[in-house]
Amino acid sequence: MTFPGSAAQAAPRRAVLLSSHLGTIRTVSKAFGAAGVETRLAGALDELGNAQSEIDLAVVDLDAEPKLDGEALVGAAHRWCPHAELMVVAGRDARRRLTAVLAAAQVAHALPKAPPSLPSDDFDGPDERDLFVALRRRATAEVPLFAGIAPYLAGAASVHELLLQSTDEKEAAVGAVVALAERMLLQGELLRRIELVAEELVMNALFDAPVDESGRRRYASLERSTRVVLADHERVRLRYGCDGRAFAVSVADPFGALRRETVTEHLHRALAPGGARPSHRGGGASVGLLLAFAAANQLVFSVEPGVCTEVTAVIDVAGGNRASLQRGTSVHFYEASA
Amino acid sequence: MNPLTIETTKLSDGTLRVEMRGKINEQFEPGKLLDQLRGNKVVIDVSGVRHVSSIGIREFERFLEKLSDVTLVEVAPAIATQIVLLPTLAARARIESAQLPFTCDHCGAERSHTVPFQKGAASTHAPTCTCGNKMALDGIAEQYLPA
Repeated sequence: MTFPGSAAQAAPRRAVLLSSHLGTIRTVSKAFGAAGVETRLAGALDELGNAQSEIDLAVVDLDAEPKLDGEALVGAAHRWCPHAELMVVAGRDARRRLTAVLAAAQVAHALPKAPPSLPSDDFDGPDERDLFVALRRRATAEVPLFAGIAPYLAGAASVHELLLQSTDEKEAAVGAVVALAERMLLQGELLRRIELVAEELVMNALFDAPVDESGRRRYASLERSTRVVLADHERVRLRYGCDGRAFAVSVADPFGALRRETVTEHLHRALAPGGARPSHRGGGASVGLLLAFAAANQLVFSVEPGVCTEVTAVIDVAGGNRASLQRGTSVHFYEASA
Repeated sequence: MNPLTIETTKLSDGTLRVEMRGKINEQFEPGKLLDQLRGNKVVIDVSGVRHVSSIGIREFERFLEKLSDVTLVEVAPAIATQIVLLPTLAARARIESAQLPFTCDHCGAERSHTVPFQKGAASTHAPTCTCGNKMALDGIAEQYLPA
């Protein structure tokens, strides 16, 4: 079994930030500066000027053009910088608006702005740590594509690792994650959310990730109480750890079969107002994804097609459950360069 | 690993009261329980359910669909959050109340408290802390109760 760790991605050197929101400008500028990315600021679409083919990354604040919906704004940004990957941020109603624009192929990152402390206050910028890690992963080749949880924890935090070959090992593996959380005196809803993401990511890797040579899912239609045993080279890698501020769980499978569109379609359909909620009858994958999204503060997908899929969930445990949930959920996609 | 335990008692009016505790996941097999409950008025106390996986939801929904007169009471956060995300989960059941976590922003105290499973109940039925201040839901109300 091999889990590649060195696949690097194209590093952005030039970026644009489309926002007139002070909190977002402050946070994004700091993160860009730290990552060594040259940044241009535009408060609105008409300040962008002629299309720019050399821009690598555009941060689009969905609140920048109140008269445009998110899809239209993302479309306009894409036309302006057609080769750039897009990072979108939003304040009000962020969950619905961000998952709606994630379906656009160019959107690689979606981050909610931090909620105001008082109802009368404005939103703050997106979470600095979340943003910084995303930019660092984009801007430098230092972080391998399948880096697991390490980028999301402070440097000295221990990373625990387990390899799973069968469903028989699932309970013990999830139990090990829960045991670490309990040793850190996490309890109640924070503990439940950690257990939930661990269980859903592991079950997804064991049942939904394995594909045969023709790309067909081997076990997706099986009852989940069925015993599944993977070959030695197909083992699933679970990594987990906590630095006191964030608890991170990462599960990698050596199939690389997860498609970005699958993720975005599930989330968009499920979270659109009056949208079709996933039914249990469709199997566990879509519901599991939705539950992981609702439980995590960051959900990170790293894929090299045919080689590896790694899904990392990060839960903010620095404060109480309310503060953690109020942060919302960011979604990040990283794919190996062709 | 904290498996699901189920206890059933018959109330004086003939209602069957079921108490579930632990985890609802792919191991949940309610066959024998269904034989016992079918055709009866059933009240299920799920305050002790601390974890429900996506597969557990599926099995729990199938279980509820086979009961004709069922009420969920003291719904734990593990189930409340999933009912809000997946409203079909308990389409066949009445949901009476939820047992949710509350914290006191003044003294830091924490406690579980039962509120009606309805919009706004987290604030209208919030408990008062022993320090005298009103407690607040340790979460976002729209993720635990109907919006």
